[in-house]
Amino acid sequence: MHCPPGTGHDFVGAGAGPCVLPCAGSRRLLTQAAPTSYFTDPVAARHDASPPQDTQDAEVAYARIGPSVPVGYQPGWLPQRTQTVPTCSVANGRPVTGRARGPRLRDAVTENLRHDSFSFEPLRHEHLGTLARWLAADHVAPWFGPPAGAEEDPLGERDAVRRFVASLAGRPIGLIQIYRWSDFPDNAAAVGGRIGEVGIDYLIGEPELIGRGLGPVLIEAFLDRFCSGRGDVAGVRVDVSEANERSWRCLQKLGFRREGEGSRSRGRRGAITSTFATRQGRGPLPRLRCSGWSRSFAAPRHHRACAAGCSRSTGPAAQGRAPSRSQWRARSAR
Amino acid sequence: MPLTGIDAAQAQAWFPMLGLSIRVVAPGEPSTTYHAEADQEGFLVLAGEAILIIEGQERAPSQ
Repeated sequence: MHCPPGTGHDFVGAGAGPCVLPCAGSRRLLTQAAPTSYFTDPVAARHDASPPQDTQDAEVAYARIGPSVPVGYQPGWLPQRTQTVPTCSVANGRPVTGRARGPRLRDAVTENLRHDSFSFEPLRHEHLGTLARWLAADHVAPWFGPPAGAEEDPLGERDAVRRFVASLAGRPIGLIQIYRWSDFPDNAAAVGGRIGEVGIDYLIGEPELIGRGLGPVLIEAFLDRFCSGRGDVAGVRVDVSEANERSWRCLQKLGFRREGEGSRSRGRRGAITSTFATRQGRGPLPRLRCSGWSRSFAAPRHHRACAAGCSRSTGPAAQGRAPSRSQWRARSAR
Repeated sequence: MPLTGIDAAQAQAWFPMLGLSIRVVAPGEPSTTYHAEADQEGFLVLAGEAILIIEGQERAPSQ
């Protein structure tokens, strides 16, 4: 409501709960000796909002009810905000016709996303249809290589690259894969990968969920689950295309810093400019919108088994084998 | 919650040309005493319900 100068006005709370009123007013004339006028009004008097007399003295006007008191925010003043994300149209790799079963994704995508909002399970054969659709999506294909098919088996390199399907509210939404740079010495040399550092590649496959701020929370949840507190993980080094601005913004929100760049081959797509971002493993990760985040990335007191299974002893480098072209293409593409 | 100064001295020192605040009122509670400012103001019902008294008339603003 816009209130022109000289307009008598007041608000009175109504309904069953508190009313929150942001107010903005110009002081341009207030500083030029044009004081506020308080005047009696029968309608205001019915709501106990009328001053006892016409006056320009605030102390007289507010003598009966007292001044406002600054207070902090209290729960319940504002309703919980839910972002408007369209309902996911795919479940278990198949289009959903009619009403989707279970909780809707848009109900799960709120500002109160927590790390435990996501679940991760190893990529299985039943996920391949969904993965192929994700890889063919317009927002994924330029960065994550060709869809998995006859030429490339995404389940065939589990020793060196661990792939996980990320789910939100029980619905698969994306893929994250993790590996140790030491398992790919040639590529590690190209990106400056160090002993103990892991690499990750990630995608959110559902187009409806792009641009909703899910990426940083998803990656944090993954790192929290599989890398945080591990003494044998010194840091995370990500090889991301220079032109992939969305991925870059995601990494920057997580505290990754740009370390270098270069041009090298990326499978059949030819040479593109890549930039390497790292986040070393000391100090807590930044708090994002995850109210549940509290763990740091520091070394633990006791070694824990790697839930992701990213042990160097099982990789091709440890076995004296160089990574195959398909291994490198699948891992480096984003 | 005053956003541009907790009193007149702070307001005139920090934000001499603009005042911002967030008021929270309970049902039946007036936000201020009925008054008219020397300059324009703007209000938004961000949550809840309120009765607007303006120029001696009652209105029910909607969100």
